[in-house]
Amino acid sequence: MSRSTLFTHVTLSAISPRARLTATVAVVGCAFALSGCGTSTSAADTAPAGSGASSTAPAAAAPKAEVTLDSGWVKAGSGMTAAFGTITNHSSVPVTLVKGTSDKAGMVALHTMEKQTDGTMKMTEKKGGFLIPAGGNLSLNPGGDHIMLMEVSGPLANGQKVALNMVATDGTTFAWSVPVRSFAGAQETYAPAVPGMTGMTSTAPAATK
Amino acid sequence: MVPHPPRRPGSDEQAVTPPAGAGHGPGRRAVLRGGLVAAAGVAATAAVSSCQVGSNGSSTVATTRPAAAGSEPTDAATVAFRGARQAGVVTDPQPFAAFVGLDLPKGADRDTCRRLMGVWTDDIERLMAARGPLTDLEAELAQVPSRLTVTVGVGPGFYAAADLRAHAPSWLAPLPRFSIDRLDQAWRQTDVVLQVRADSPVAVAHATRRLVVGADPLANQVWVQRGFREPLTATDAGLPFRNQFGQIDGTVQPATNGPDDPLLWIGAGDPKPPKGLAGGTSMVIRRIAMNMDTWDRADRVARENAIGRRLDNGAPLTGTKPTDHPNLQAKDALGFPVIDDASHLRRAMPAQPHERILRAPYAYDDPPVGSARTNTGLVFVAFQADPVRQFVPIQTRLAEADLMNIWTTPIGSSVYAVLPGAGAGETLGQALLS
Repeated sequence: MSRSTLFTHVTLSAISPRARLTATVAVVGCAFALSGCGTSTSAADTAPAGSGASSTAPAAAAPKAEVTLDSGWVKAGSGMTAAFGTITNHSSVPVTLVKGTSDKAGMVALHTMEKQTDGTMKMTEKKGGFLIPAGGNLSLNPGGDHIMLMEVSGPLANGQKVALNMVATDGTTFAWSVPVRSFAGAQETYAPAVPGMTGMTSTAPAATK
Repeated sequence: MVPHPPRRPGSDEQAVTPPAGAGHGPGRRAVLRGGLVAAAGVAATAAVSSCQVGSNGSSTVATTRPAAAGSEPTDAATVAFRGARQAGVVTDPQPFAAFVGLDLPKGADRDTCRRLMGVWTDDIERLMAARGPLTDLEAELAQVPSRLTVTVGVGPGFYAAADLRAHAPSWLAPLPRFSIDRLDQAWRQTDVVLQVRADSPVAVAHATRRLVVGADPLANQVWVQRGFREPLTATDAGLPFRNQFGQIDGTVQPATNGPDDPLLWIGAGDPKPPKGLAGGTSMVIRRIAMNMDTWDRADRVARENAIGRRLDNGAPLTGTKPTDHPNLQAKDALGFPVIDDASHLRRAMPAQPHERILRAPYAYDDPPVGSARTNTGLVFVAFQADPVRQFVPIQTRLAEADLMNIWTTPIGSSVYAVLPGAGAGETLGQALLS
């Protein structure tokens, strides 16, 4: 897939109320289930100044896999935006991230961009989540895999920080403090309302072959 | 008649003896390219720099130029970002530069200033390490190490926005209006400035672009001044800076290896430096238009008389080597001063020992406007702990009388506080904005 292809998103308001409600409930349910979510605020506050990306091991006492977001950043904006960077798995076991929460967004989703049979790029839910091999990493880039932030509470301004709490299949939560950056790419050209969250249609120009 | 400048016996006695082998060491670039260890690089740098001499004459000290603290190369061609002082001040000037003046947006406050410095700190650290900043989709342009340095300065507007006016140094204000000035608001004082320098114009262009768009909307570009100097070639590493009039310029400098630190760095001599500026300095940027067409009419004798130095090697007209001290009393056979009373050298000579500045000028040669054939001049850049105390007396004398004023016109002027460096885990301006 071309990394340079612009991806497009559907505004949350364009999503049918029912689908939106369902998705929100799912995230809230996750928040209740996972005590690790509570580390987000402190992680943001204690991030070392000047570091491009920082990560914090889960607050839980039990030894768990360490997964960091290196050179991470969130595109400045409001409503809907995305986080990018390199997810690195420092442990000796594979980790699959399946969901997340944020202090600045009502919904966090794991998305990717896929070329469709008609040549257009569409954002879709990353089926099965983000698998990061033991000792390996996964790059999140505009035009590729990314962490979607929806229902962003107020505009995210250049130079601020966002707390992300990403949850693995075993329930382990990884708390990341991610800087917000102005970015002209990752244009969200909002499409008309479409039903459902997955398989959102896109207004991206069809790829040329 | 030109007023006679004050004579100060002993003013020529501050000379630092150049190290043995001065001018015969291997080129800096050759050393860097050769990947020798830093120590060897320092030795070579000292040897090379001691043969750079000045036409301005504002200093009587020939200096050695070991790499300053905080700017030792971490590999063959990168300069360290982290340190008590910012890079790009005593760093040997790279051949390509861009100076960018930016203003904070309306309504900017201390949080705006903090966020701007947070963004730039991270971006600059990555760029100087030959990496792309976080959002860079063309990071390959950053990945050719080319001694990139980025230096951040702040103007009066930055202090005002951050509600820190009471802490601003007294010299952070417009320079006095000099009679020779024809200032164009296009090159006015701005709230912040970026000095971007590198061995490669590609690195300068890319870093400048990324830093300017990366700051959006925390700072908005007002002007860009691009400049160049003679590249440091492997075959002639000591090649001094010549302005577009062909004059060797920016030559006799304060020592950058310690003895003159009180002249260069805030807090090095002042026990009570302004809040958050210890380890910083000041940067004066003056844009000097040079009239190439009228200069063409002057013969080499007239040109040397105007500057007070030989055109070929920059030696004072009373000497043979660039490092020779000018003999201001010398008369020719007819009784005229060998070094003209209104020559640039004589007028720029320090009347007091502290009237010395570290110059890092760049030539510009921009596309001509209208029917003009050239748009050429000098981006005059000077670093000093206190520009009012050190620079203004020199500039005042030059404005009163300097033969070079026939061909040159200051069209831009600004003064900035260069922030201290950022130590590990620190953000530029952290002490000021805390």
